[in-house]
Parts: sequence; structure tokens; C-alpha cells
Amino acid sequence: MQPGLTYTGRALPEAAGHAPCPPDNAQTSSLDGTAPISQAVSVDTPLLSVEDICLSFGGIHALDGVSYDVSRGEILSIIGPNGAGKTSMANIICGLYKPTSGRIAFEGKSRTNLAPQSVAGLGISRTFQNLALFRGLSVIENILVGRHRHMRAGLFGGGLHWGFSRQEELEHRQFVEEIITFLEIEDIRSVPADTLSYGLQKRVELGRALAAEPKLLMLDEPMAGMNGDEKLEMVRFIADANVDLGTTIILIEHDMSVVMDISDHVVVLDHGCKIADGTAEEVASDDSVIKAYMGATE
Amino acid sequence: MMVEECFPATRLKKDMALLPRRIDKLMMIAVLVVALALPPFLGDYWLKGVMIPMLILSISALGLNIVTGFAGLISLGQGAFMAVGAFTGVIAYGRYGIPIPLTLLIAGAMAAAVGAVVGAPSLRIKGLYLLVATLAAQFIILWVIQRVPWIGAGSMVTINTPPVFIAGLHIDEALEQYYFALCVAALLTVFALNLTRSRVGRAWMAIREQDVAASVMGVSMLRYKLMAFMISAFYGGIAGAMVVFAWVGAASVQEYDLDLSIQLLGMIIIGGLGSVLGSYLGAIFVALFPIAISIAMHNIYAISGGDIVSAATLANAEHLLFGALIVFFLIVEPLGLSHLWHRFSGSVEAKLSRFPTTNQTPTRRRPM
Repeated sequence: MQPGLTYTGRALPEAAGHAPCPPDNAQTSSLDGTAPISQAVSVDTPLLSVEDICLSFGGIHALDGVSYDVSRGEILSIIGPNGAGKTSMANIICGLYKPTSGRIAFEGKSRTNLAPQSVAGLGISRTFQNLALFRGLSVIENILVGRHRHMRAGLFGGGLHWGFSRQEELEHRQFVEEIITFLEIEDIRSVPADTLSYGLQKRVELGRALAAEPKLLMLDEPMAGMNGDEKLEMVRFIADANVDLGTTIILIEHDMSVVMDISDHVVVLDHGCKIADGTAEEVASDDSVIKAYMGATE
Repeated sequence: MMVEECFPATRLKKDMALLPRRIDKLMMIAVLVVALALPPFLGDYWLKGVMIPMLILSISALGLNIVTGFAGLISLGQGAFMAVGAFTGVIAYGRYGIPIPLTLLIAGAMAAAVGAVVGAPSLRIKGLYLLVATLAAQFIILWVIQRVPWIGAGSMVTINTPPVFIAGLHIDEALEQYYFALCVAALLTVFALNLTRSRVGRAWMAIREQDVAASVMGVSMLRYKLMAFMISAFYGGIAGAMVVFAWVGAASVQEYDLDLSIQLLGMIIIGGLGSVLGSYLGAIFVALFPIAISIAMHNIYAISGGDIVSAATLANAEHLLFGALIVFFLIVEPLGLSHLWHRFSGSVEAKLSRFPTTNQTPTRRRPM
């Protein structure tokens, strides 16, 4: 399931003041009712709950009444053919789009219309389908931006670079180095992001999102445009992030075969509607999925 | 690779250093020695005509580079921010007798407050539209300064400053003014260098490179865009006050017109967008450029046996070549003179050290 785990086992330090999900037995989590006890919120509360979301652009319904829950510690895959509304869903969750109607709750609290930076503050992070690295910045600097919400240095702290802010900068650079080790990109740590290969840029983007220590990580087609080896590596990093770091992950993928192995839970969208919701096996044998999804790709 | 050897604290400190490369440190020391030791041997003409304006324009260009080069928000209002600083300074010191250091801060703060208003449209618009919005601010600010009777700058009046005293020292010789400007420039440069490599500076660069991704990582557009405009205006305001206290001795509206704003934008394009060093290189270039043109033209005329060069011809040639140079840099070296320095110094550094380390690869835009 997780080919060749080589992560050196150095656990990332947990930032004070927020409790990440415990690195639980995620593969057997809440679907079968044996959910791990979470510290802050009761077991029954899903980490993210999407209720009846609709999104229209002009007369076009990009999403039409989509509902699903994301449990703590799981890997949820949202799959569907092109134009099914997968990326729109991600943009709504992270606050870039405002849904036409519907409700989103994170950790039991409604938060449907927050601005993107406030959503980031809740502990939701993401990567983009089309690369969105800070091109002129080095790999380290890119990942350091991911630490933004955990840092406090402001105008004067940064400008004078004394005591507290200097120490803070050092600590967070240390954290970034651990992310770099985790993703095995030590040899490119000081290289400008736009000089990297496509696959490495995708990996740095994952690093930037992980640096935010998200409770919920959304990956928008992280394997798109990669060759077989790169896909395998990426799958390994995603599985590691889930198991070792305890991050709940929403994986948005066009390619169904990639996600079946690592998903605890699969939601299938087609033309903006949810057509299936269940385990990978359930979904793969679902008639409407085979008809709509497979039919659309062939 | 061994995990423990990957991030020893010394290496992290090296990554964080103000000037991470040895060659930059050496160059900085050399520049400081020259800046401190050379001026006593220069005449008033060089000090008043080249060195002091160069330093003051560097401060203002540095501010503009923060908003335009680092945060990626184009601004054509820097000249007007200097005007705000100049008039605030001359009123605070001349009319109310506030000590000079405090006056400089007040001038900067007043410009920053105006900058926050001017920068507000940047939350909704960018690029060309923002350029036009800041252009409008440039005209409105100068208009207001001339029309508000309390300021006392009506109908092109020049306001003179009383003799400048700092802690009992009378600053009136060109050399004293030069060292005063050098101190202010040095302090503001260190602050800018620190700031641009801090969390704030990274947030600005993130906005410049990918504003959507920046906001998803938790960077507040409202806070950091306005902060960039305010810091930029703060630097402009101090530079404007320095024009009064360390150079001209008076504040007059005509000095801060659109020409100055365009000239400052030209400086940072030539020097290097998003580079503290580039702000200085651009200002030095622009200060020395007219002198070089003048010498060149005189020689050409002498060789070709023509008449004495007229001032109008010189001014025209200057404008033509300055415009041509901006186009040249935009096409050939969009990262400016500072990038040339990094390429050159990078190759020298590689030759000097026997074992070039892999983590020395320069990023595209270095803060210094």
C-alpha cells in the first residue's frame, strides 16, 4: 500500500497552541465506526462537513447540491471526469469562491463565507492543479511562506531583526529543513523554484502546504502530468503525510486508478452532482460511476 | 543524506545572514570605507551636486522598490510622498521647533498615512489601473499642498527651513549634510534589508509572485499591500524631509512633480526591481549619468569641431538616453544592474573558493 517507506522517522515538532490530529490508525478510521478519539471535538463531529453546496457561474451550475463529510485522519478522494466540479469544490472550501448556496462546517463550526487567509488560519491548506509556486523565491523561501500563519514577526520585529523575531525565524527555518528532509529535496533547497522540473515543483508545493501544519490538506491533482515513477513517489509522500503527520487529506484526482489504493473514502462527482460516496471498492463497483465516469473518459 | 548534518544551526544562521556571501560583505565594507573617507576630498560641487542628492534619492528609490519591486504593486506617486515629507518636515521643524530626528519620523509617518490612502485601490486593482490611480494621487497631493492655506505653499511659494541643528550641532556645511544623509540612509537600508528577508518581506514577494497562493497560505492582502504602500511612503517622506534639511534648505512643490516619480521608477528598473542594492545602483547611475553625458558630448563636439554644447541639447540628450536605457534594461536585463553584480560576484566567489558549495546558487531576486 505504501511502497518503500523510507522516511527517517524524525517526527515534525508540533507547534504550541494547536493540537494536530493524532497520528492514528488512519487506514481504519471512522468509516467502520472505530474512529480514534480526537482531543478537541467529539468523535461524531466530522473534521469538515459540506452540506448542499451549489455554485453557479451565470447560468451554468458548476456544483449542484453536493454534500459529504470528511472524517479526521482519513484520505478522502474526490474524483470525476473533467468539468465535474472538483476544483470548484476545492476553491469553495479554501474560500476563493463563495458558494451560491449551502453550508460548510469545519470542526463543527459553520464557516461558509470566510476569506482565504482566514480559512488558512483555521488550518486548511492546499496545493493547486496548475503550479502556483512563488517562482522567483528559493525552495526554502517558498516553504517558509507556508509557515506564515505560525509566525508573529511584524514590521518592527522584522525590520530590526532582534531577540524574539530572530529566534522565531531560526525555529521556523529549522522546521522547514525538516519538511525538506521529509520530502527528500535537500539538494535543491536554495534553488529558485521556477528552475525546477515539473515534478519537483509539485513536491515543493506539497512542502509549502505541509509547512502550514494543516489539519486539512487539499491536494488538487498532485499527480497530473507526472511520469510513473514521479507518481509513485508522490503517492508515497501523500501516504506518509497522512500516516506519520496525521494530516487529514482531500485528494482531488482525475485519474481514478491512482487514488484507489490510498483512499479511505471516495466521493465521485459528475456534472456538478455527487453520484457516489463510499469506500474505494464500493465506488468502483457502483453502476452509476462505471456508467458516468468510465463512459466519459473512454 | 544524513539528517543531522542537513540543518545544523550554523547553517540556518548562515541562510539568515544579512549578507550571506563573503564577497557581499567585502564589497559592503569597501563601499562604507569609500563613503566615509572620500567626501572630505570632494569639493562642494560634487557633494551638493552629486553625492547628497544621490543618497537622498537612494532612500526614496529604496522605498519605491519595496512597494513596486518586492510587493509588485506599481506606484507613480513616490514624488508626491516626498513632497508630503518635505512640507511636514519644514512645518514641524520650522514652525513648531520639533527636534530634527523626531521631525524626520513625523514626516515619514505623515507620508505613510497618505500612502495608506493612496494604496487602498491596490486591494481591488493592479497593473496599469493601479498605475493610473497612483498617478492621480500624485497630482491630487501636490494640488492639496498648494491649496491648503495652513501649509503656506500657495502660488509656488518656497518655504525655507531655519538653520538646522541636531543635538546642538549646526548642520550647514555640505560635508556635514553629507554625513547626516549617510547616517539616515544607512539606518534605513539596514531596516529595509532586515525587513525584506523577514516574514513580512516574504509575504510581499509571495503577493508579487502569486497573490492567490499567498492568500491561501494565510497572507492578508489588506494588511500587507497597505503595509508595503505605507513603508514605501515612509521612506519617501523621510527622503523628502532630507531634501529640505540636508540638501536644498527649502521645500517647494515644483521639485516633487511627476518627473521625479518617473525618474525614481526608472532608477529601480535600471538598478533592479526587488533588490535593496539595486535601489542604490539605480540612484548612483541616475546621478552620474548626466555628468557622463555632458563630458561625452563636450568631447564629441570638441573632436568634431562644433560649437560649445548648449544646455538645451544636453538636457534633450539626457532625456533621450535615459528613456532608451529604461527600454534597454526592460528587454535585456529586466532584473537590472544588481543582477549583473550577482552574476559577476557569483563567478568571482566560485573562483575564490576551491570547493563551491551547492547551496550557494543565487535565487533570482536576492534582497541584496
